[in-house]
Amino acid sequence: MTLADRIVSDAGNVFLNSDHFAESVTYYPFRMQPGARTARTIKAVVTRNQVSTFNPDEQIVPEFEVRVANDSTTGISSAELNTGGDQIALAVRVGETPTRRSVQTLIEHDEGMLVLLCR
Amino acid sequence: MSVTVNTPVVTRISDEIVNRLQALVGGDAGTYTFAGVVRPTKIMSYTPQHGLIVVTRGEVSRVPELDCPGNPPANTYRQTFLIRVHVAPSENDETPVEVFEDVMEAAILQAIRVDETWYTFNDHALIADFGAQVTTTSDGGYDGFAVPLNVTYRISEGDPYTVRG
Repeated sequence: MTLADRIVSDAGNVFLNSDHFAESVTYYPFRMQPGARTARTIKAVVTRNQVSTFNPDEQIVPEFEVRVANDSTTGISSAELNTGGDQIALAVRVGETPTRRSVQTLIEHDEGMLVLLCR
Repeated sequence: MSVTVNTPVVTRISDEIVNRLQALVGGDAGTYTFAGVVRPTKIMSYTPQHGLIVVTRGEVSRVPELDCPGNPPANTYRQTFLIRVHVAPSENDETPVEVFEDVMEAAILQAIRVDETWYTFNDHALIADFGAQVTTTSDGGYDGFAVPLNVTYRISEGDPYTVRG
């Protein structure tokens, strides 16, 4: 196994381990075409920032940095991601009921993981 | 606290603007359909998405040349409402964003101008006019646009609940 393979493997098996920091969230691919693809449960490490200024509306918004595997089954593949409609159900505060949040930006990505900004 | 019994004049104007925009939601216009109309709360509970209208308030100023003497006198204010629209179509959509802006702005103007006396907002305002469209940005990129709506209204001095014609 190459180093690159090991990094990709660790992304799913170690970093996104539910026994560590990962949680299960629901990914809704591209709401503009609801019949084309169905929602699925994936693993994610979510960093919550409840007080963040959202300039277009000049409002305070909850903001989420979401790390998922770059994988079309266990996570979200970089090829399928569409920031024009994809959503992830996230709880604003731990323990609350998750609500669907738009994936607004792909902050960074590599073969192993995606880092997404959701609001 | 929920205010439901009586509200100041400017709040009633806000309510009417939102009511008129609600008519746009769920229309049969494909990707030009508006997703909803929201007014932000302390920590907003909506998610920004394509076609979402967010109504906020901008600058308010006094218009002393339209005041009226009397007891009590009448004071005139000019309130700017910002009708913001998030434009976030599919990454695969080849429609230029300016087309989305043009179509959506036209729909908004028509929704607000419901009849010949649209500018009174149910007899609460003296006059109203639209400002020039403004592009809005987010995270260093494009997010959508805002249409300023300037509404001039007159109230009794010290009594924001009473409209003065």
